[in-house]
Amino acid sequence: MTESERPAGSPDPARVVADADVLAADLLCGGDARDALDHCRRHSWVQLVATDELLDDAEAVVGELADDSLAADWRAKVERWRVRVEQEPGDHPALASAHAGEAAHLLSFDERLRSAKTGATLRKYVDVSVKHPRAFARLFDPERLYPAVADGEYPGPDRDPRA
Amino acid sequence: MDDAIEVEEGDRDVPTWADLFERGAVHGVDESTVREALARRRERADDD
Repeated sequence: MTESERPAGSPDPARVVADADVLAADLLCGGDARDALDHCRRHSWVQLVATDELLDDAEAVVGELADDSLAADWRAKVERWRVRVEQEPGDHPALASAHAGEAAHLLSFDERLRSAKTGATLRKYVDVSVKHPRAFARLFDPERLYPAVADGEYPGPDRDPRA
Repeated sequence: MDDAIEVEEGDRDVPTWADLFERGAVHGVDESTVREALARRRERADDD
């Protein structure tokens, strides 16, 4: 199923939102967050979706825990990567990003977002699967997903995840 | 680098991910500290 064949309102399986804790942990800690986002960095057809407010949160956390120079350079880098969407003031930045960007995946360390109760409530408003980055890193299967977003056989990674 | 790996022209004037990760690692931050920092920021935003 390619983009043009995706039912209206259904989430895009190649669009991913990483909450600000995952974005900052990717930069500062590595581990599960980096393993998960490396899938996105390796494939140009996997899109990271974020509002300005979501990046503001991650940049502030990096500035608080590391330094402002690193936070600014990270922001410049991620601005070139993300698909920008807009949100209403006061909305949860990650949920708003998923909603506005029609993303199928939301990566978060927040147990409250990942709970079954929250998931049932969320699905009334946002059709998104909230996952721990470790689960996304383990389950993401680009070869299986590729035919849903593009024509032809999966060509393998097309980007250097460290470039 | 493999010819199949794409490097966009516009990316040459921003740091590489490798550089950013190297600079991030020196701060010795763990995941729980990141989670707590974000939670504090969002609590403050909710209070405003």
